[in-house]
Amino acid sequence: MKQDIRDLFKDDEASGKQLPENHRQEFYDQLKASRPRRTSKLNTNYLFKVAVMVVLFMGLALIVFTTTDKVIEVIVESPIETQIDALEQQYLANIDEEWQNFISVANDEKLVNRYRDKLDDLDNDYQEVSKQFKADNNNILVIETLVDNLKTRLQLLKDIQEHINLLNQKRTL
Amino acid sequence: MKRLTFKIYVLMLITSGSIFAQKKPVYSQSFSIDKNTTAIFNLENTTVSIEESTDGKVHFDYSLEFDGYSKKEIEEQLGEVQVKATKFENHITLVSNSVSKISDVTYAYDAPNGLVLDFDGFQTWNDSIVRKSRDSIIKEIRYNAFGKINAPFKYFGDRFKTMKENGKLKDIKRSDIKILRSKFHIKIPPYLKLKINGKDAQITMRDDSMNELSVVLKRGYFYAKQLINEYNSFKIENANLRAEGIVGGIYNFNNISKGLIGSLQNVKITSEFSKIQIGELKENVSIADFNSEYFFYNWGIDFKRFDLFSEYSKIHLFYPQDNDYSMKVMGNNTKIMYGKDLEINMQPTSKGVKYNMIEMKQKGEGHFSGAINFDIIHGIIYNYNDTFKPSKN
Repeated sequence: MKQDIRDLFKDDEASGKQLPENHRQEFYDQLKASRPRRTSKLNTNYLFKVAVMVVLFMGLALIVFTTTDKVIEVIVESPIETQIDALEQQYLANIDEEWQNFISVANDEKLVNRYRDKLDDLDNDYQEVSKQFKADNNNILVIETLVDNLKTRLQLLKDIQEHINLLNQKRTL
Repeated sequence: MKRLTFKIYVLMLITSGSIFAQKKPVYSQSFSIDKNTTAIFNLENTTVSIEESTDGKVHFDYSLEFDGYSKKEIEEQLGEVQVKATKFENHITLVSNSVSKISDVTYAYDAPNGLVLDFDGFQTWNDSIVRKSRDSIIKEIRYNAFGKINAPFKYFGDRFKTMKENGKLKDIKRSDIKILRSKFHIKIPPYLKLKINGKDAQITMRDDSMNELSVVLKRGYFYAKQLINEYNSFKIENANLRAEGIVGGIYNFNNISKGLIGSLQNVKITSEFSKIQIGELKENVSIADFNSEYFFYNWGIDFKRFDLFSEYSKIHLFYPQDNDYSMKVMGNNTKIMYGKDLEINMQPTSKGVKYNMIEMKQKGEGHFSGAINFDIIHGIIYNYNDTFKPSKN
């Protein structure tokens, strides 16, 4: 059965009542009053303590950071640097030993002087390449150049001693 | 089947490195030149490959190929390379240098357990010495020049290992190696007069060169095919040299530790502290040496005259095989070895007087190739008996 839906509320009691004028404001006030109140625990004394702690922490961090950085630069070496250092020490000890042996068997001052100059020249080369190695220590070409330099010096000294010894063997003519 | 799939997967992993390598252009420039143009290349920590130009221009084309590098590392590496070519009053100047050494193939290792040298630096090789043909020397030159490039990972793996946690050595993973390939191609016309100053430079001349070259190289290497010009002037120190043939010029070698030369003709060499193998001595070669080791393997049909002036040198001498020749050795305090059993000694003299140690006159049979003259003191000459027959003269 068809009917106008507005007619259904004509006799309803509530339909004639008016809301009070400050209804909306009252509602907000009550809502605000019902919220739990947030009390600030921060006070000036507490803030001062935090500020002091932050300043101390930053200062300490700055000191530790710069100090650690310097320590790393001085102490920590990569394994390859350690190996090259060890290899260098081993070679230099051998080169020094062979040099002493060489000057004890060589009776030609000119020969000794030329070898001294050549070894100095190779040592200068080594120092130059060492600087490159410190800046670029995982470049294999630099590592090979360093090892070859040491190897060459040692081999030169061994070869010349062998040469002199052979010349000094029994003379038949 | 699973095994095959695994192998294919491994192969793909290994080869994928080169597929994903990034090529970055560094520099490109060209100049037109004429027959009066001169050029100077100043190269430091640089590897170049020089070829003949056929269009009358000089071309510089430099790129780097990065394999395993991060974007940031690539930018850093490119920032370390400086290269510039200019032309002023018909003179071209190229300056190329890098903070770090750059080879044809440069390896860098970046892994937590670090790198361990796995070759014996103290090891020396005592190969038996036999006559080598000129062709075998050339083959050796080509292999040594390019073997490192063709199998870079194997080259690296043969020399370096990494360490396991238990302290044992293990092979390095391909993924932990960064490879940098340098491709600096320079093309020059054959009439360009060129001076090269190289320091830690690696120079390869890929074509026969008729250019007038003046080269000063300290550390690195110089590889060449034929170097043909009577005005060539080379000074190479603490470096490697390999040349398939040298015709004309003056060469100064100081500590060439691995010298390989296919043939020499009309060349004057001054050398010291070097080790040089020569495949064939052709016309008019002269060597003045101090304390080097030379290998003279073969002689040209018309070598005409060969002179050696030396002190403290070690000479490995193979005689001319098919033709007549003469030989004269003079000096003092020198030992001549014939195999293991026979040796001739020349006494030292207090006043440095030189004696005729050995003289072999030409036999007068067949074609006369030339005269070998040694002026040697404090030397050792090793004679190899594959052709030697004691002379009746």
